[in-house]
Amino acid sequence: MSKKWLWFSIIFAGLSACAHQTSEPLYIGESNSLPDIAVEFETTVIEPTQQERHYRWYFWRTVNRVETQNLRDNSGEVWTKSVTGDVEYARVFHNEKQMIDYRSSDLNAIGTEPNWAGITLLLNPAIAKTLMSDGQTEIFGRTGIEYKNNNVENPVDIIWLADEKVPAMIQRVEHGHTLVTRIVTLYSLEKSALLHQSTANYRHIDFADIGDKE
Amino acid sequence: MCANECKLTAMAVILASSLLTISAVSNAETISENPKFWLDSGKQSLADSEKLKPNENNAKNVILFVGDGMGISTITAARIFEGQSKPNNRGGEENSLSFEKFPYVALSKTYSVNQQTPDSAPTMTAIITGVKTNDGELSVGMAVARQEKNGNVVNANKVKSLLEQAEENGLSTGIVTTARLTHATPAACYAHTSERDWEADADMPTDATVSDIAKQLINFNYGNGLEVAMGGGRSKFLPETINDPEELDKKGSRKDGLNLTQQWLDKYPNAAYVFDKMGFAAIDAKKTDHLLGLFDISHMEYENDREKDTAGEPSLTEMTAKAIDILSKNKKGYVLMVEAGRIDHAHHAGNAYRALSETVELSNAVRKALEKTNPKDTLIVVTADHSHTFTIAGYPQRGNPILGLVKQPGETDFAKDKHGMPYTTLGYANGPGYRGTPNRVDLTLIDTAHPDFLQEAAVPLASETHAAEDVAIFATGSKAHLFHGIQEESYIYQVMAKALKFKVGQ
Ligand SMILES: [Zn+2]
Repeated sequence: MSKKWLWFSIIFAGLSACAHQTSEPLYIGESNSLPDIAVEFETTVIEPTQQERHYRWYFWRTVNRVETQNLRDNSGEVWTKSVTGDVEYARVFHNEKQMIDYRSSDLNAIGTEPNWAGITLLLNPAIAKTLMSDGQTEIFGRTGIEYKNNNVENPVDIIWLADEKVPAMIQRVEHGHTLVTRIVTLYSLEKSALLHQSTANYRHIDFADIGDKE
Repeated sequence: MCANECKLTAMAVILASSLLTISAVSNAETISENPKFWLDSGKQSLADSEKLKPNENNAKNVILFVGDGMGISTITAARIFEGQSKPNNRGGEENSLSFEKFPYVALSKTYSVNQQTPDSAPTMTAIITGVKTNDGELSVGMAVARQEKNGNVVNANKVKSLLEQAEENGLSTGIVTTARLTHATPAACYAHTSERDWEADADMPTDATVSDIAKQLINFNYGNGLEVAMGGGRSKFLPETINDPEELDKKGSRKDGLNLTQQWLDKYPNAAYVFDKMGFAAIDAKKTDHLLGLFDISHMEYENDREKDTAGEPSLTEMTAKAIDILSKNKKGYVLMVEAGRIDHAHHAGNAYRALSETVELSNAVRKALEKTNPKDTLIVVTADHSHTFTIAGYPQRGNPILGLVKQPGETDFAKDKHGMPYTTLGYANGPGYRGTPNRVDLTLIDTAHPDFLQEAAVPLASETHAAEDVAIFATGSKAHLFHGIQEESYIYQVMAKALKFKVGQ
């Protein structure tokens, strides 16, 4: 199985964009069959009057857990889904070895309704529904399918890796700036070379207790 | 041919007219708020007041209810929130929560020794020991520095709680909360420490010799020990090597390897430990003398979310009833502290819906306690430890939904701010509900009564804060008449101790 994951080990099969194919909506499939992956992403923020800004971040995913780590400030997030479907969240501060835990009802109490598909696929489900295929492209030695929406004001382009169920590229234009997120490296979780900092001994604070600590 | 149709039509007319009659009768029965109504109802209240006689009996039992963060604006809004859910209400404003019908009310000054606006640690210390102290400290005098690590210093400055005195006098004692049992309010009843956050050994500096709060609950050695301790906070009692019985992917948080739930069972005769609703329901109060209930790994669920809990949790009302059943077996009497601990958390989150539904559940628990006790021998006190920055604002018309947008009398549209935006009745002076610059957001099409709606806040803070204004004390039963005027928060202890004939501070 790992043979499919290490993109540099795969020989490019010579696919090219195929403009005359029928346009299809993005099909994601069952959320309980997500492959376990570890990804390094780079997000680029492009604004008309400013220099481009680049952020590297890690993304680890299993069926019921997603963790991210922002390399710039060494903070991160952990999302977990319980057997009953409740979604919990934690902010991770690696430098301080500290986590703030939000239970499902804490998230609700602050008006947040987490969407598990959006968290695991990095795609807002409402946006995902509007995407139609627009050809194929070669990326990391494998076939990525390009999808676009038809929104002139807020255009979204993605390149979707169907086997890994993850976008290799997401480009969005919002409020006059462009956000481009691209995969830098992609691994199966068990073969991951990304440095994963264990949070096992971190101090946990309940979100509900924050108010009494200020 | 038309016989049947005519009959039906006639029947329909009769039915309709009888419905009209019924509705006319019920309209006739609804109260009309005319001048006579106000004068008559005022007269009745006056007559009731004139009949009031101080209940000079000493109390066999004292039940203290604490709504954590339940300021007066919270009580008013909860009264309307509950009132608007009742059939035939007159707008909801006329409703009374159970404890608002108590005959005696006073105000409590909540400042701590070192802070104008306090937290729950010094406030509950004042309520339950009669001594004001510094913020963050539990049942120790003000000479102790916050986070003092030396256990000898802390022990030398202990101040005795009403529950400790009760045990020494042969009474039974109980603590019920929806927060963690090791959280500040319940902890002040049994623990003495320089830092409220030292709930388990893992929360403490390794060189501190003060005992952690969970351990102090199990090692409570006054009289024959606590009879009832129910709430959340299971992880503080379980070692990090043991999986939580409800959230199986999580573990206890104790690093010292101690399983304090097992110690409870080993320490007491006829003891029980339960962690879910089924276990709670199976407890026979007649056969159980020492009950430990830890119903969540951390705080228990909000009442609004309780049904979704994996293993199920009892309500505050159910825990109160069970506690009274166990404690009232002692002929000498009992002291019970019941905390609605999550009013405070909902306010910190800027979520009025949950703060109000928690307050209504506290009112239900008080009603249950009233049913199960006799005012001749029981003093019931309901108070708050401190307030929040929660406001009821604008000029909404009578019956305007308390969680809704302000609509003034006679208007068809919502009241608008300077930028033409509507605004809610309920809001906060600060907190996460700040919605920013340059203008507020348009709430016209937002369901502001949704349980997950975040009320607006004027100052952006990650968490809404406590507030410093006085809170109310409601009292009924033995010696309740001693609650009057504006008092220091520590006065609450004086009346409870007086009612029980305890020597103060000893
Ligand atoms: Zn608080």
